[in-house]
Amino acid sequence: MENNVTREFNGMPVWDQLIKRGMTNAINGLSQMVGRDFEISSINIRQVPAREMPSLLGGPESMVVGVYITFNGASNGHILLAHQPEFAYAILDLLLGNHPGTCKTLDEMSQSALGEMGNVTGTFFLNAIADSLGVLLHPSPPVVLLDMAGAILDIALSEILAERDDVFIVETSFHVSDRTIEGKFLIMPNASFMQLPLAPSGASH
Amino acid sequence: MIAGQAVNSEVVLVAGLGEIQVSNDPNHVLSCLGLGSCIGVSAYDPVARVGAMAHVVLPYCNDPEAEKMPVKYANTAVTVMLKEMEKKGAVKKRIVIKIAGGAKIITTIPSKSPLDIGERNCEAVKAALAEHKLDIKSEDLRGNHGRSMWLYIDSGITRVRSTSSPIREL
Repeated sequence: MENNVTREFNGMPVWDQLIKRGMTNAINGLSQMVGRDFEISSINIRQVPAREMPSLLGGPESMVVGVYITFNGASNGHILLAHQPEFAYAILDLLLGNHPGTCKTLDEMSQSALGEMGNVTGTFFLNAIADSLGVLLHPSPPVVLLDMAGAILDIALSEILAERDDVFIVETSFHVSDRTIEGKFLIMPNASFMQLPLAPSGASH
Repeated sequence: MIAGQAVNSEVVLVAGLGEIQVSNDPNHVLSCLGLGSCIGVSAYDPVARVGAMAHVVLPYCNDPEAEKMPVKYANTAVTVMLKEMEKKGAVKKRIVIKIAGGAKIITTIPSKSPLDIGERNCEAVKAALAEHKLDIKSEDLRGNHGRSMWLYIDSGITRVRSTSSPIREL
């Protein structure tokens, strides 16, 4: 199945444009919510061997604050908004109107704020895709986690690896202009994602 | 720690998702890093000084013959691990087993539900080991935090560290 996904994706620039549109929409949503202009550093759409996945987040033992969302409907998949803890705390200070350096732990209020941020970002991405294709994609409630990168990724990978040995991902790195905040936005769709009909967007296979 | 990275004179070999590391080199340390719902299976023959570490991701493989990554599944990982250890001189009845992982990182998943992959992995690994008549000497399972584990080939010591507790001998 993974070979089909790779082949089909590489041959369709329309998918590339569609996903980049979704990502731009998501980062715009993040900027609006946090009140700072986030910029996309890079967007990589590729197939990654399972063992290399934790390196995307700094290695399997790196501590990560992750906002995890699943989506279902016309297709299924996983979304992870991930930050090193110090960047997550910096975002929380912005969201909660604190002086910089105030937030140092994830209390209930912090988790709620981060969850809403993940919700906005994930929903903006899914809406852009769904609107373009004329399909429905439903996000789950967000879950906020602070743990090793490998442990957090296990949640998505245990499902994806039941279907195939490699992981198809959309990896977006973003930052604010002064680089005081950075983050990763990972989309890990199931194989059915690439089978979504492109006709409503005006494109074709 | 990264695969192949030297720590003093030691070389750390990482078993990634669905992978196994086997060694009889006393300078080697085998590891599973960042285990969530996955389970690390540490196996060691103290006489032959042969060790193995398997990084199990899922409980059961329905078609072992067609599977490219048999270590991904509990029921096939144990078989592969034994074969690879025996190739290096290990004897099954001497093998000491220690296991860690099987966490439920998202605490809102109902216990014992099909979505609780950690619990299903715990049960499947134990069943696979029992099928091969391998006893578990010690374990650090479940909870809702990530773990890493290391097996030192020169001593047979297995250590585990979690997000919520410092490194300790298992």
